[in-house]
Amino acid sequence: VVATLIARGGGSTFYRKNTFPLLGKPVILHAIEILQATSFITDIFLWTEDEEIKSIGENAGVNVLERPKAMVHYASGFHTLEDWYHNRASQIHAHIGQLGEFEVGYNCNNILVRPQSLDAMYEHLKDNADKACRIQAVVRVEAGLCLENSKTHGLFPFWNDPERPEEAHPPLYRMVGVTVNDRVKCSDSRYKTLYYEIPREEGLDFQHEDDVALAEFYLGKRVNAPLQRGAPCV
Amino acid sequence: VLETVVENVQNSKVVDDIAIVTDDEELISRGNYSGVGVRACPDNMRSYTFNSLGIETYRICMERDFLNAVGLKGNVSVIAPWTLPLVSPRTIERLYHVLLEDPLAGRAVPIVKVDPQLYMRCPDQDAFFPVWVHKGMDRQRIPQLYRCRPFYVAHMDRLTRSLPKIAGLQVPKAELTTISKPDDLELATFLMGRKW
Repeated sequence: VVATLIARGGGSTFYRKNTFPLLGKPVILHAIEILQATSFITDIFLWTEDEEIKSIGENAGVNVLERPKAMVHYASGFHTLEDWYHNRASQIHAHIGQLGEFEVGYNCNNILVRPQSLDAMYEHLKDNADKACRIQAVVRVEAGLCLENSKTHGLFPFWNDPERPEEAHPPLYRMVGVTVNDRVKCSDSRYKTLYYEIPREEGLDFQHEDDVALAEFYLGKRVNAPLQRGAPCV
Repeated sequence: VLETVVENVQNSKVVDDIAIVTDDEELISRGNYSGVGVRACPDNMRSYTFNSLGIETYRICMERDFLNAVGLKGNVSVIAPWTLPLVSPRTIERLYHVLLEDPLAGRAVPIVKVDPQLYMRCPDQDAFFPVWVHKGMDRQRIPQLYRCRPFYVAHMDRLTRSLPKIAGLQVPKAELTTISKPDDLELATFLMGRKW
């Protein structure tokens, strides 16, 4: 089982987020340690162009893949996403002689997902081998939202009925950047994506300076916190 | 928690009169809490759901009548639920200034960014339905959504005289931390001890 982390040195919402220290550890290292603590991932690959991130990955014992600078930004125009995939895949193949039967796609913003949740997602994929090709993590989102009108700057309600309390709204979910994929079945239309709901605090998407305090609170609590598993959503 | 909310409102320095409005009989019988008068919530408002974006006439009239009934007759009102103790005095002052600077605004509301890529679960189906996502598009290009809570500064004249504009003021995410269960107190206490 192969896990792939894609990390760059910049950051459009939080400059050099991946190396920002949270409770004494860079963000990317929190993500690496989550993957290392699972019971099923055999090889972790870190695809990056940044020297500091490479060094963090090497010290943590993961396989560092060279990411061409022209593949750092989306829509740069130089390469297709297929090129991105093949660049990673050829390097992974060079390391382990195969691409892996299963692949964990992991966005390094997810620094609070529990290894046990990833284990449970993998079990869920195996338990549903007859119909599932992918398990996608989801997290519940509270209702009571709004959009700002770009012309008038007035707020416009979205998923927000003033006559109902927030908890009475139909639940919304956000896709978390964590998937467990069966590499072969993913290209077979007979198989589909199933969803796995993780607890809300595990789904924190660390991408703004605003998130530092929340992340440190939950990371600080984690040491002695009881295991809280998510539940298969669908 | 209630005392913190009272202090935040007082320390904003933009409020002339403040009252705690509640259906809690113990608080009502005290008559005063933390130096602030306690008033009984009118019966017809005890199950009312305050919502920062509610602009239907009947709701605005109910809120105006509510303020009159509890003796708060100022033209600008701060509605501060006890469940939001982290909305800072500075934010309340800034919300007031939003109303001063925008003559069309009937309410000023603190808002925080919400991550996009939202789906709803289809009832009775094993599927999710996209409601705020464009599959294949980088999420930073998805129009930004915000969360608001029932905390606001309202200009009652403007709300009742025209189709009201509700203006948002973006604040740090932590400020809209809501106390809805005992566990939330630990988070709120941690955040209060920090700068964010």
